[in-house]
Amino acid sequence: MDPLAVGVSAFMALSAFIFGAGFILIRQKYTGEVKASKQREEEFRRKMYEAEVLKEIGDRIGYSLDAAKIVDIISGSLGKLLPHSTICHMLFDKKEDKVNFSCSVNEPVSPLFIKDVREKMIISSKEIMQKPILESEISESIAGAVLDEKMQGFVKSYFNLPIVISGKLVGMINVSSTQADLYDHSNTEFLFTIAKNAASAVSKLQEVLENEKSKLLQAVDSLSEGVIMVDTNYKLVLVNRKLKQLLSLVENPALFDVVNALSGNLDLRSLVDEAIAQDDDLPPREIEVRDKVLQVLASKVVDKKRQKEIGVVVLFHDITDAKSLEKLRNDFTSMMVHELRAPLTSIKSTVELLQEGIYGKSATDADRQLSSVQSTAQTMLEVVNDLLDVAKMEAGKFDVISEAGDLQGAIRDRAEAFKSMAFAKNLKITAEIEENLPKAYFDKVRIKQVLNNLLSNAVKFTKSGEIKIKVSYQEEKNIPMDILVAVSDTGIGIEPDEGDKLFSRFGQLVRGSRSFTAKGSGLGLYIAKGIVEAMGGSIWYESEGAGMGSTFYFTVPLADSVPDYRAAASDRVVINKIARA
Amino acid sequence: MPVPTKEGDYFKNLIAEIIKKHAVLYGPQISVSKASEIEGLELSREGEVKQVTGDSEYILRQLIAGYMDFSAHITKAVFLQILENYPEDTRKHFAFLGENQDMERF
Repeated sequence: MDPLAVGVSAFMALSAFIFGAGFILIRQKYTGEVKASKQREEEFRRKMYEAEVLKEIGDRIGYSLDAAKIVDIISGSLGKLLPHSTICHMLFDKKEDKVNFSCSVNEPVSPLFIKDVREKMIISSKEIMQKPILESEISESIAGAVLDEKMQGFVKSYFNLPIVISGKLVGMINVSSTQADLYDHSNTEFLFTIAKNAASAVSKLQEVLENEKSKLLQAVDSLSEGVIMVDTNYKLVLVNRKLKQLLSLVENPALFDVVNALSGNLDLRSLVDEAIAQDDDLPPREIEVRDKVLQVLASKVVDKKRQKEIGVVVLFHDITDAKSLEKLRNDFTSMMVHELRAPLTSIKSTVELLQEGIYGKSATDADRQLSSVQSTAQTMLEVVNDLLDVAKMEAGKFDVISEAGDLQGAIRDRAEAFKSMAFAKNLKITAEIEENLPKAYFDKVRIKQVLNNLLSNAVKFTKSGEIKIKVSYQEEKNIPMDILVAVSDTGIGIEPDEGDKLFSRFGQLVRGSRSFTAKGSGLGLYIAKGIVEAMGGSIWYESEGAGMGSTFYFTVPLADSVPDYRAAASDRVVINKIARA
Repeated sequence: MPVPTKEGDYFKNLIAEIIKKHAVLYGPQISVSKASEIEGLELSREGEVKQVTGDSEYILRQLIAGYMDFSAHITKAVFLQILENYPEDTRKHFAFLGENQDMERF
């Protein structure tokens, strides 16, 4: 054989082989690429479809906080994505201890199939919640294709999709089929992503709302009024701290506890009904509970969006002090009327007698009657002066003009002045004044008013015994600080519960009522306190109780200890205005 | 729970228990298919652990991380509950789970 021909033939065969092999390789590569491309396209289409469904779910869920709606929307959309016989879901109502089992049947299945699905969901839920689910708690609804009693068979393939919001299982979705091997993690993974994203969004929204709710609850809790809110089903929504305190309630009260604490003084249920029925707020009413007077205001709460009543808020305002003050005011007015009427009647009748000439013939009788007129007029004037002083103090127009001077002179003068009054009641007045008292800093006119008040009270409230005035100066670390004046009596004393109010505007009403002979406005101590404090001193009392006598103390600053005096030694006068105490 | 002799056996037991538990929670198919993805873990069709090859603690961590894709909250709770029956030394390996750390540590 021609070697050339053999060579050519071999070359041709080799070329054909190389070409053939190359063709096969290229074809295989091409086929592989086409297949991969188709797979990518298929994957892309699936992703697009999933994204569309995801968007639809996202749009429908929106900003919903309703777990039931979320579970409903997700389970409703699953049918488009996966082959299935049934899509069921369970919703857990923890408040009511209820489970709603709902099933959408896509193709005929047996009742046993549904029972199997339900059992699988219950077992899974029990594992997650770590608590049993009772059959009596479950309500069931099945919709879609008719169940076929003749059909056999249980669930062949399934998966559960739990919905966990803020760490709590709120629902579970189950997708089941009569066909085996339909679901694996790769074709269900995106559903878990949807469920997680939806739950995460709701959890965050709930967290924001919980924060806002917490702020509101804290605000309501710190209110100085008692607050309770009841919904339209008479369920207690909230009770604030003040109401718990007012009604002595337990820490987490039930509505029964509140009703019980109101002890029949307020029909809460009728009040709620009445408030819901009325368009406007109910007029305030007053009740007495546990020695307290409470003003009760009820008003309905309306959901503006739905224009529907959602409950009633009841406000309890403690008006015990206001009521007590009102009573004191009424007592004060009655007393003032009485105090002013008695001398007025006396003046009127004395003047009438003088006009009728009954005492005309005897100058002595006329003098006696005139001096009675003068005495009663003086009493009335004192009452009126007290009222005027208090009015000035309330208006901040009561001036105290302090200057340096000798306090002992003023005290001796007042002790002498009250001797005759004390003598008329067989009482003794003594004044013990420390020698070489330094100069004090006081209002020379107003100090008399203070002493007059303390001495007249001492005489008024003492039947027998004596009244002592003691004046000394006080030192601190051998440095004279101020002058202490003490007025003691052996009279009716002061009961502990009177003490707090003694220097208040109406403080002496109670004490005055304990002495039949005491007359006056009862405002003296209130005025005295204002004057003493405006002069830079302080006033207080000591008494061991009723019938044990009492001692009233007040201090007057030393002239040298008053910076204003030292700084303005040239004019030596400082005016203080008494503002409302 | 069987009584293993080595710590590695504890991890294998944990792997088996976790797969079993997740099969109840989510359904056997998706739980087993998820676990089958993990390298070094060989399972039967029913989810029984046939063989664990390599670092069993690492495989366990991979398994937990995989199941957390379903629900981090549930997997963490379930795992901690299972872990209660295991010795302190084994529990120590997963102490950070109880510290409410984010799950990326897996």
